[in-house]
Amino acid sequence: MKPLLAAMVETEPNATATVWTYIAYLVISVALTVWVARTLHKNGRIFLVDSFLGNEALADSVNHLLVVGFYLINIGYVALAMKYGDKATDARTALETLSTKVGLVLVVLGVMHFFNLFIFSKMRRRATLHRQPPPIQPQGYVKLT
Amino acid sequence: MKKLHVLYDAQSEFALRCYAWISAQSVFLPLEFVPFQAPELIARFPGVEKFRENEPVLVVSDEGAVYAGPNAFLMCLHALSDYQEWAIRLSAPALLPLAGRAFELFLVDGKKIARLMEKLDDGKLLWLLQHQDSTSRAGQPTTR
Repeated sequence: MKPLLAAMVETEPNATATVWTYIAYLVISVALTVWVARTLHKNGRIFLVDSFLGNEALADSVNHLLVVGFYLINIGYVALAMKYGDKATDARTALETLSTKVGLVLVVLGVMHFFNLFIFSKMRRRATLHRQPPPIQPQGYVKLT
Repeated sequence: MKKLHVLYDAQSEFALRCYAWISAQSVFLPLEFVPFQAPELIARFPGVEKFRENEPVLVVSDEGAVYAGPNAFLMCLHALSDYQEWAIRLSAPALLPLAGRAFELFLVDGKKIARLMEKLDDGKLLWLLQHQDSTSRAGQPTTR
């Protein structure tokens, strides 16, 4: 197998450059998705445990399910978006296309990440509220039997 | 506090509407509804009669704390997932006597009315609740 750039600068590069762009795109995007998913999985746990009032089993389960959803959406998007955009004709357009495609994947990952954070901060706010005592005092007491 | 008992007057049309509305909401504190007319009421909550008077609704916590008048409506809101923040807001000293009126408004269409009322500052909310025509005893600003 020839190195990526060598393949891109060949004299009859159109098809080869496109294929190499696609391969580079797939490798970079999937690697990024895996890295982001792992980071979120690892660092999001403590946040989730707090959102679920210390219920660790539930938090771990939700954390895992979220990572599955995250992979499905992102790898799905990467696969769907592969054929769109300008076709590479030489090394320059190949790099441009590659960077546009990877950039889009990064933006999608970022949007998903902030959306997740938004949902969790809402959940966490609720959970914190639910731990609060009632805001008023009772008028009296009875002895429950 | 792990649970609330909502005692209601099963002969009051207003209390029955409250009961229907509350039971349709999602709660984070479990609620148990007990009509005042239930034969086991006195046995289960000895001494609760003296809080009853003309109240449509009383709230008794699992620790025996009794909330009557506006406080009872406030405690009902406190137990509901979507209205706990309203319980906090309405617990302000100026608004607390009118908690029953706010509750009455929620009975009509809680989600929409809560969204409208959220936009009002405390002064405007107070004015609105003071000028609302009340059809039930929940609207009487009781002083206890």
